[in-house]
Amino acid sequence: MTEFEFEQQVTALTQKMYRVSASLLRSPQDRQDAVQECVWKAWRKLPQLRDESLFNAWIMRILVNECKRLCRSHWREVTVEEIEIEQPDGMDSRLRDEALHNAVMQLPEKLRLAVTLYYIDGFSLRETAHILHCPEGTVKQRLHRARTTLRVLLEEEV
Amino acid sequence: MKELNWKDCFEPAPEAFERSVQRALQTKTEEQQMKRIIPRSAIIAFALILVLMATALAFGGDILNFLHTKDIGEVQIQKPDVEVKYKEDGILKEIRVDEAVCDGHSFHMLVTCIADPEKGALLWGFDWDKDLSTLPFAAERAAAPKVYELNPSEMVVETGGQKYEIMENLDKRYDSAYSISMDITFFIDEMNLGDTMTVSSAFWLGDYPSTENVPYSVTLPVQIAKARVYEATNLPIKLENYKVLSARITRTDMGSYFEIEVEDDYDPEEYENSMVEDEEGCSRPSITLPLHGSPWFHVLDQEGQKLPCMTNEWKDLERFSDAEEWMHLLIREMIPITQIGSSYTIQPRDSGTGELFTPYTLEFVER
Repeated sequence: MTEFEFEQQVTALTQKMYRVSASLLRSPQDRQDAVQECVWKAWRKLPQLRDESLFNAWIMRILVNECKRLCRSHWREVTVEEIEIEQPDGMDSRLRDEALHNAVMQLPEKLRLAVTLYYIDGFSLRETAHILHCPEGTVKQRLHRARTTLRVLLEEEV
Repeated sequence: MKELNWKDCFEPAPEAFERSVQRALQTKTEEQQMKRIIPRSAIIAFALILVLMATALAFGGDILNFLHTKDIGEVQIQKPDVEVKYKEDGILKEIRVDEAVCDGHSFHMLVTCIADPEKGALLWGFDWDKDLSTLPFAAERAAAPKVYELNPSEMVVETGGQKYEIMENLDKRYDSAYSISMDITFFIDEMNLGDTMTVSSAFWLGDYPSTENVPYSVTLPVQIAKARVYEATNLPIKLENYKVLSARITRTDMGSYFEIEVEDDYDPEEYENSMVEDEEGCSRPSITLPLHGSPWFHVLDQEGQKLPCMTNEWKDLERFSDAEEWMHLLIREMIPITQIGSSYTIQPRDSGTGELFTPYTLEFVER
């Protein structure tokens, strides 16, 4: 893969990367940090990627790892107060379905991530399994559980 | 559930996020040479607390002042000739470098920005969302004709062809409503005698959104202090929540650098085999890796008191780059002591939960 191709592919994935980072990180600054680290790390590790057809899933896996790394870093422990005053950084929540968004964000992290990757970002089961580093059967189970939970949450919303 | 309008679940990526992606693409090659000292901007708050604690404990509330410390070793760092460049008009009356020194391991600088009182007072940019009445010199600031925000941006230090981001290693102090001092202390692994070190930055200063860019740079010669190295002899050891592989103290006449290498101690096969389905139908490991909290440590003196920390670093050593779960870390703290004892006690701590683990006393000998 050439540098130009790498840049094109990453640019094309921007929206998907945003949704994945937004599903895992509350802070806009953290999302930006995570995606930057992800891009840098992917560029460094690109020679290790043997099968370029896996690029999208591969780089999304790096992003998920970066997001999780930020989550568990002690300095990323933010208080509720900090979250409340956090600026949305240009985010326009009017452009989303609030009920669906809130329901998805209430899911446990593993279910939320599976839903984001499979239903929202449109990755295949195999790709989702690769990104999440788990068997396809596990992804199916998570999606099933997520659907059940979402149905309840959305009914409550209505 | 496919019938739901999934595409509307998240708003489109904000411009700031898109810019981050593009910026990362543009800088991806440079980044390979750029050592990100502490790559998380949120550590500012953490570092502020530690540095303020260190300052208060070590110097009775005075600003850090290594250059004035006497009789602390056989090697004395000389106050270097410092060259400061900045634009001398506009809101700022003066940018003054009070201290700038390096010892071959870390760099410390104290810069003071002073506004012209006739033009307005200064507010640290990151304080913009705070209740101004709670900040130091609130009454003077309220009485000032204007309040200008001072925002540091793009702080980089360059030496020996390497660039280091230092934005995260910045502390500040209000000296008055018109003066802000910035204290920067950070690690540099590679410094060469004879090189120069240039800290360059810019302030965005002004009455938002009308801002003025005030670039400045500070150049000084690199100095290398003679170092003594002490290594722990009673390692490795498995503590209750992780394994400590090695520990080392490097001492100069600026301070002492404690480095502790730790890693998860687990059987990968056992971990993989421990996956079980929980009540939600998700596969989860039934064992938890030791470092999955937020590992840290305190260094305690012989009375069991925590020694103050000037700056710190948390590095992934990434011996296995693809290891998703396993962690192998180097935790480093700079502690402003120059007399090294034969033993120090470390107290492992999960800084996420605050949980403290059993202290362990390390025995050191000079290498």
